[in-house]
Amino acid sequence: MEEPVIVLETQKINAWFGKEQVLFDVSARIPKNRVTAIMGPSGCGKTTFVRTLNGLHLMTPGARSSGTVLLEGSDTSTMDIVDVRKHIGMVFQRPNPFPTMTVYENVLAGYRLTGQRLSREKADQIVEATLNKVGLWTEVQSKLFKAGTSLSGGQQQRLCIARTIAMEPAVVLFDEPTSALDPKSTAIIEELLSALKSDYSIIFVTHGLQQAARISDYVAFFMLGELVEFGETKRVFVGPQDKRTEDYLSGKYG
Amino acid sequence: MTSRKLKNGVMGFLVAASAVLLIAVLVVIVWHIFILGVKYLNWDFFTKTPTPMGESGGGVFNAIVGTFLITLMAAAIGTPFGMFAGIYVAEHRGQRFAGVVRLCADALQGVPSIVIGIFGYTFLVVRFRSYSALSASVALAFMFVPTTTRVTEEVLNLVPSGLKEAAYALGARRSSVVWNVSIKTAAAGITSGLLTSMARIAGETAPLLFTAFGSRYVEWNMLRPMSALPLQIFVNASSPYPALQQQAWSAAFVLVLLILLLQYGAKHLIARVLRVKA
Repeated sequence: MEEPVIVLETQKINAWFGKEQVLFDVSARIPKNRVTAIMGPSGCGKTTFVRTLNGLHLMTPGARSSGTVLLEGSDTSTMDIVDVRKHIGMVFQRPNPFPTMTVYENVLAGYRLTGQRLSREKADQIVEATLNKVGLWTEVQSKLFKAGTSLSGGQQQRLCIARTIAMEPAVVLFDEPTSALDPKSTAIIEELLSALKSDYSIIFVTHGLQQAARISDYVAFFMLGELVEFGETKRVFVGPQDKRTEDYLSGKYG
Repeated sequence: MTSRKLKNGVMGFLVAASAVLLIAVLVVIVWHIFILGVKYLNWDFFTKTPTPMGESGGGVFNAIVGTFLITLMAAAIGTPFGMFAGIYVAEHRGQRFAGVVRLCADALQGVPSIVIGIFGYTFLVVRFRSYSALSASVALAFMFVPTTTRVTEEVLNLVPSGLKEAAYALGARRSSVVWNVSIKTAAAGITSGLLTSMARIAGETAPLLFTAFGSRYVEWNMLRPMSALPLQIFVNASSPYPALQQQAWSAAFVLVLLILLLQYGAKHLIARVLRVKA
């Protein structure tokens, strides 16, 4: 088995909310063009971990963090946060298209919000190509100039994925993106992941064991703020090396 | 009947009676003004200026113009200050200085309007040696700013934090998030707040007594004394002439109508904001 290329590496990440420490020395190497699932029981620090990667964690009042995040080898703390976030996109738990923008504008929101001007042809091209990538083009072609919030929940979430990948990030963080969706919309998004991973490296926070098993190539198991086990999904599910992972997989706690 | 049921009955009656009383008070006031006000409304009322004391006829065109000019100018002066302060407080929630700003806005809202009037008189009218509509607008702006600040802050706080996070996650800087996401999402609510604040100052009388002073003529120059509907009501209603008193009722009716319209517009916009949220 050849070693995968590493796109993102964390070294001893610690994170706090006020005085409460929620992450402890998390060091992980995220492979390029793979889906890495972050799983673990509620409150284990999954979401906080991904939010430290793009600096959103620090926007919560009272939040602190320490440690290093290397994006394709360069230390993100030496980069402008705007550039970090352009390279590390994020899709949230609840679909959150901008209610004041149309479907079309939502896809281009990243360009608009960062003050990048696009020619009309370039903009049209990005919108069509991106909506195609998330399988939304045929569905919303006639609704491009309607409000983004007029779409169904599942479509809104795919619109948010489109908005994120329109910026051509290297890594896309998904923070439980299907937890607010129905099973059918969930299935569509899960299928989408395997198509997206040829272009992007995906980090996918999930609460569900089955979902992690279905969608991921690698899995990181978190418990009480510690990264307990990291490895290829098959290997971890079949032969967990840590007792805590084994207990979790066999349903001893959830 | 048990004592619990008795208590329940008595409380239920008191609550319902208070609700009815509230409606009754509004109905009596509006109805009274409507009956007396509409009776003396005519074309001259809207197009002519007041006749000399004691003569019948004439109108309050000067006061209508004055109310519009003074209120709009006050809103023009107060809107940027109020909105910016509101944005500041909303964006720095939890920080000490933001708390101080909010406290000051609340305190300023509680300052009696007569005090605002005296303030305007001392610092503007005396300094520039002339009563003027502009000094009235500045005085009213002091009342306009705190309400606008609070409304702006409250509406911005209604913007879901998920939207702001989404914008930050796309690489937006704070200024871009504030202008392109927060303000745009809250635009209808902020406008609604501006209308409510305007409705509030349009009916103020005390600050005008010391600043705008009043004028018998149609005045467009903001640097000169000017009339306004509340002033005209005050002057006419306290005059001994029935014709002028009647005119005061009509002016009161027009003023109430104007304020209710502003408030209705504000409410309509708020309803739109809430729909966007849902």
